[in-house]
Amino acid sequence: MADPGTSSKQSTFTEWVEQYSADMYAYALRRMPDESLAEDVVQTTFMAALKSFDTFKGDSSPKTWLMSILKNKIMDHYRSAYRRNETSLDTTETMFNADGTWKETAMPADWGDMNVLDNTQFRAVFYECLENLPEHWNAAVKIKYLESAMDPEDLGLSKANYWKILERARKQLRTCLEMNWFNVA
Amino acid sequence: MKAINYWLISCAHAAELIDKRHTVGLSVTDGIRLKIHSRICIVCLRYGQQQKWIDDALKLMRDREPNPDRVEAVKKRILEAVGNA
Repeated sequence: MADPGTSSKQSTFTEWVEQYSADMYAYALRRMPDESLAEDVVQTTFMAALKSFDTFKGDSSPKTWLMSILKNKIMDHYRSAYRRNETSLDTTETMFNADGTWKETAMPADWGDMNVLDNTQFRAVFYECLENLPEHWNAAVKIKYLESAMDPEDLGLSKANYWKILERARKQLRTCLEMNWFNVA
Repeated sequence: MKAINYWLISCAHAAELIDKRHTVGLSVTDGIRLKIHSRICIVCLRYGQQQKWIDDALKLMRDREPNPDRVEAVKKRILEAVGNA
């Protein structure tokens, strides 16, 4: 026979999932590299909350409690992403000749109409390009542009390395957009 | 002649300053150097405009809305996991 405590816990939980998972997912989606990782982190959060349900005293709202677990889980994700990738900052191919002029192959081409930021199709391509960045580059971009509570130094990254990663991420985004949207050869 | 060279920079240097402008920011001197260079070099001017545009595009992430189908799928998946726990 099921323990009545367990079943009331589960029904409270079901209610929380119904009420809060959409907001939590939206929050995670803006911070995680892609949709499926965002889904995973929300699920992991609920599972962790279920485990420590008895420690929830009700001092804060359930949503605040769940969100704080979610933020920690997102941080954990990036911490381990950095650890996995910390040695991969190799040298990039330079875009310039020895005399400081642009190499012909690297010279920025005319993109034509750049008034596309509101275009839904463009946004899909843009997100795709963003999701295809190496995980720790994607993380660096999100730290900078989402004004999240994350600090690059929390992730064990020196400021200098962080800027370098950010620069390279932006370069790769350029290339991806040129190939998939602006049709620059 | 030396004084002119102080203000004139190469494309490689200009591109570096453009990238820096979007990350750490520029000193006043570097800002002026970049402005002078961008007046005389259309390629770097273009690069600067494109990098600025990428900056704006990246800010779009802040209002990324989830796909409603995915939201329902997430809910279902979590409810199943909670039920099995």
